[in-house]
Amino acid sequence: MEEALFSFSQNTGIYTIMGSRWGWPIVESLHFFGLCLLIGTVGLFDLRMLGFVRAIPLSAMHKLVPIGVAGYCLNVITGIMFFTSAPDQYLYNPAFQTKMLFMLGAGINVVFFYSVCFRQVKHLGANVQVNTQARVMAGISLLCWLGVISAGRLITFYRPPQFWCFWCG
Amino acid sequence: MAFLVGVHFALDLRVLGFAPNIPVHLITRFYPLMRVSFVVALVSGLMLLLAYPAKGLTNAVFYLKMLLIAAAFVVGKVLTNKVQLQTDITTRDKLLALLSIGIWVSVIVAGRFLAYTYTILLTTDFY
Repeated sequence: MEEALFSFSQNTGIYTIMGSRWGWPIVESLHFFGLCLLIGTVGLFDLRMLGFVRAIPLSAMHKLVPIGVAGYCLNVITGIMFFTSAPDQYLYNPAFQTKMLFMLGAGINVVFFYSVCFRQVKHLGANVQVNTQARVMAGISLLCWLGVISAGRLITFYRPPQFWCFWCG
Repeated sequence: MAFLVGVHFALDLRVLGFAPNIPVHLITRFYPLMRVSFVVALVSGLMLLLAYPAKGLTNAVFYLKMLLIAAAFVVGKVLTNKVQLQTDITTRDKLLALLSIGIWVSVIVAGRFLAYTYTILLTTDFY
């Protein structure tokens, strides 16, 4: 799988970009910009659902979420650029694996939220407390995204081969 | 960083016109979160600087980042004062919001590039 990922980055020119003098820092900066957009919108929406700043209507707060999704897409693209340029550094990195687990958790939570909870909360106005189910999902979402950020920051400190993940081959 | 810049982005995006149903002056209610995040970033930044002081203090990008943060605070204060008046948002405010986004993005970029633009690592490298 490593060879397929690595050849993908080389065939598409991603490897040359990331290997240039300022390519990697610029892509990292874009990655941080996307995460700030995500937390600033989705994070604040979760905080509103948890009950902070109840004066803002929930439906209005949700209007910012598409911008968070755009930030997330930017992070997926830049993340793929990192991952395919040095696949062995990520595949066997325990911090990266933890980050992916947190993202899986956040993703499952999002799917559940929009299929189960959203219909009940999307029309709510200001000064309304949402039900416990939505609040639990908001809390899980916030914790998962903060976990993604923390694990992501730790990636560089758990790089193979010094920190080969102990459950790998 | 995520909450510090994120809350500020939420304010700027609202001033720029996204999510118009949110009452603008209410975004300032998230400011305590922003201030706590700033303190966390300040403390962790000081600890990072204490670890490798020569590397940071001889790096021009570090001083540029501090200047940009000061500029971002000034623009943020101007925007906050305007927003709390609860009058209509003019084009000048939207330009200020755009400028604020630009300054914070520059802070992030400068912070990231710090790691790649240092000249000396340890104080003993002076001699």
